[in-house]
Amino acid sequence: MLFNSIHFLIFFPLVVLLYFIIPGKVRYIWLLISSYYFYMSWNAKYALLLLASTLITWGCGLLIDRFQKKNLRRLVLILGLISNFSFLFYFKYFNFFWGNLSKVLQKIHITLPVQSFNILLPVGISFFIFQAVGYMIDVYRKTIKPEKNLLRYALFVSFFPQLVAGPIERSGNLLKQMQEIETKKLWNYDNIVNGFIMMIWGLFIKMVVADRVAILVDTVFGYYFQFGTISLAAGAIGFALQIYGDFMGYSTIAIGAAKVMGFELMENFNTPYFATSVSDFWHRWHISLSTWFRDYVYIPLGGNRCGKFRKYLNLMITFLVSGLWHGAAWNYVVWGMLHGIFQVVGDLTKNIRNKLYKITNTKTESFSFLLGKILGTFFWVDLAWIFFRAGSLKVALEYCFRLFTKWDPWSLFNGQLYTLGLDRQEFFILAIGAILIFLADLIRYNKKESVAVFLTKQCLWFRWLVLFALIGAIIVYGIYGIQFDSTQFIYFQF
Amino acid sequence: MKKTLKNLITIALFCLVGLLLYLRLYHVFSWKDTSDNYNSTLNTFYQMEPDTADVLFLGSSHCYCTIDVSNLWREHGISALSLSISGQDLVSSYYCIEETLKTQHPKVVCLEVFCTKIHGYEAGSEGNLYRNTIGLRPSITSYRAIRDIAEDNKELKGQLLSRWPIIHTRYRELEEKDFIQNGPRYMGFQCDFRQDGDISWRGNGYQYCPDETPIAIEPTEEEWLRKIISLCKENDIELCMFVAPYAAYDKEQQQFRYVENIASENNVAFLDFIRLKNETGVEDPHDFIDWGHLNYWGAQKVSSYFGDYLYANYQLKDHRGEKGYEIWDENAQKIDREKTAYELKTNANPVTYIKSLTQLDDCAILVSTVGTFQNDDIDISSIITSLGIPAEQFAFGGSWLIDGNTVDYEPHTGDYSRHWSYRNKTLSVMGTPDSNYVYVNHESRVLKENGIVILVYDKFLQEVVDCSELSTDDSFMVLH
Repeated sequence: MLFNSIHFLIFFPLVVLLYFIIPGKVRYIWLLISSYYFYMSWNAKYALLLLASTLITWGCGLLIDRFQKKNLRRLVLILGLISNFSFLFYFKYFNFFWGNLSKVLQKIHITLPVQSFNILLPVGISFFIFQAVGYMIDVYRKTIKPEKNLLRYALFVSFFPQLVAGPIERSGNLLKQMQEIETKKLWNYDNIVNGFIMMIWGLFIKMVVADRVAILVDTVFGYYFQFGTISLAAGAIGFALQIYGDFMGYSTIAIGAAKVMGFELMENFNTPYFATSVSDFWHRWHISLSTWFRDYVYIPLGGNRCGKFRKYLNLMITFLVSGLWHGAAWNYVVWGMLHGIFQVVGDLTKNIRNKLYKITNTKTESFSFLLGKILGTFFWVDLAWIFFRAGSLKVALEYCFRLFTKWDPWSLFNGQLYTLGLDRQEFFILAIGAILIFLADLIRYNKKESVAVFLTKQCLWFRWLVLFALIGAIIVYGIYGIQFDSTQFIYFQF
Repeated sequence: MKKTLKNLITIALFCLVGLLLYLRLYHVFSWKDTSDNYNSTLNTFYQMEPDTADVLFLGSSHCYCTIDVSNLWREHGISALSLSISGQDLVSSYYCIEETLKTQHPKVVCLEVFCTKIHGYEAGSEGNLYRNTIGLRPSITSYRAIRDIAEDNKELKGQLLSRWPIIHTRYRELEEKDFIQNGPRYMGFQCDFRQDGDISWRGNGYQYCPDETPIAIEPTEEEWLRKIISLCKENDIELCMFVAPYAAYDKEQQQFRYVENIASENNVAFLDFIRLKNETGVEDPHDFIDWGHLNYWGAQKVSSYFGDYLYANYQLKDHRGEKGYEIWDENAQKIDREKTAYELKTNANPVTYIKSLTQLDDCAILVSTVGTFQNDDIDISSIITSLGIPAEQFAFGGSWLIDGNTVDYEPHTGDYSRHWSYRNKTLSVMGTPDSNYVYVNHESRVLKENGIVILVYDKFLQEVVDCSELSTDDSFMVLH
């Protein structure tokens, strides 16, 4: 069930209404049933996978807590990790692994049987498995007590607003709220209004902006071999906007939906394209995943405490794994690797750059310097996005080659940009949407407050005007219905 | 408690304002009547006075190109409405009758049977499907129509029922009529003046098939045909089936024989206008736009014959002049004016052209001189002055707006500009001693230098029906 579907439009109000009406004791059961229904609307069979992961991590949590001996605790944790990651490996990485192994072995004249595993990737598998695994590690580290109530724990793993595309919640935050569900004050007008605004804003970003620019991006990436620098740059910048709008839109709807029901989910985005370095970008982009990798991969590997070489190695390992988390293909691995390299190089050249600024008397506090850093960071991030979006490593490399060699500035003036799937009218709508996202990010950047908080502080007439305009724009300009094939949120595939 | 109440009231008010805005938005985006190549008249139907339509025509584009209901009105005062829609299948026809019965009780339903060859949503374009389903107002009837037309296509059914997935894309095509009612209403006749359509390539052309062996139509279509017969019987409505003139294949005609047999079994009248070729006088290719559709002249011949037939056989009342039937006058006037506009546009003779301008009713005529506008070939002054322009003014040159008995004059001296506003159009003349421009809503209408520009705005149709130039270089031959 997609957030931008009629199905959800009926499902969500019904769930909330009953959630508000029923006695506190059974609220979590109602939410659990709703969450499983939500998940099963994609593929009922895969609910078994969700259930299995839930049962394993719940049982492991209890056992880890019960055992006093560290070795036993560790053994249970390892078993829990292996079983969960084996699910992930089988459903997501097996074909990739088998294909590559087969290619390698062919070099030494060993032929593996050709496998044709038609494995349908369960929606959101990487998200709920990471969330459940995070819980298990937290119990192992004794940062939280295990949840004894299976149903309550199952709700933590399957909570529908963030089940299929995050934010990847921490037990310390969401599970704690689940444990207080009976005593939670539900009728909170501010929460409901805030949550509603966030949902509308998220839908606007997804349906009006991300899905619209997706048309241009699909054209450019589909026929990249026909285009020169300008169109390819438009495609790359378009994809940066698309993936941000798509994923940030989803997260905003998820956070808003949870908020309406009185749950606070963690922020997932904080003006990522205003980042002044690639490292800063990862403090602002997909925060729930980057902090997960920091806490459960990078720091356990030693983090930055074991010397520079180990720090860089850990960074590279973390980002390679992050790349692989996003998809079972080499282009995702290269994408992760590029982000690792950018950060390593950034760190290595930091002193040289600072000296250079000093020698050239660069005003590092000025707006222009900051803007330059932001634009520079965007350039590197967007370059890496090409590898993320391209269907294969070969396509990504060819795309980049053409981008930097097929210089055609006249395309800016001869109307070619309007032949990439969006005519002038559609470009105009897209531009308005992109400007609104930029303004919202600017508010966030300067005032440190979300669109929802900003709007709730405004006069009623202004708030309503904005809301009705957004709703109207979604209904009219949203990409849905006939001639619409970009229905899925990009991050569902992870 | 007080705060909670205040919050609840705010939420309720928000929902109310949202609902009102939604309804307004829906009104703008909802499917509207279309003319040109794809007809639909459901909006007009919903605006009609209850119990006024005596005859209802249903069918595909063959029907709305064949039947001019204004002809029936003009000749016999028959209040007929055509709800024929492009690609209308029998399911759509059935539910159109059901919808009609909510406000009207026609004495006769005339069903054009080309639709017995159209099967639900699988036939024809998506546009036809939308016209046949979401043109109906949301109701149990439209729900049932969508259910039966979309059959087991769940996605399509969902889109048609919620409508927005389809109609929201209309933001790219919104027109004035989507916001306000403009122009006269019309009742389902495609007034097309194209002639000599090539019909010879299809089958034997417009010829009756001598082989009368019936060939069965699809069982589903037969089932719906029988349902229509029953529905009409239950509601005490006479049903009359007919085949519109077109270049039908032999097999199609044999299928019509099958339909004719069903009609005969049920005492339903059946007219085959392919068989009645000589009686109607329809000629090919003169009366055809293309293989399947008649033009204006062909439609007049068949409509006249059909009108006589209906008037003679069904005791239909002459409603001309009666209160509540103004919409038929409006429709007839629309068709007349479209014909007049066509005649204007095809007239190249300056003398007869100007003469026909003097006979126009409820039109504003803008005359504007450009450069040297007189020569010795023809005494244009004596012709132009018949429009009411004083000869001495014309000798001086300028622009004139002739609207009924009033003539408004703008001399072309120095820099000049003059604007005349009508409901949805502004006619302007602007110029300098060296140039002259005529504009209609920002659009320049001047073609050449040296001559006279004439622009005709029909206040009833609310459109510029002709823009012509009488050039001195071409001996004032009228160029449109």
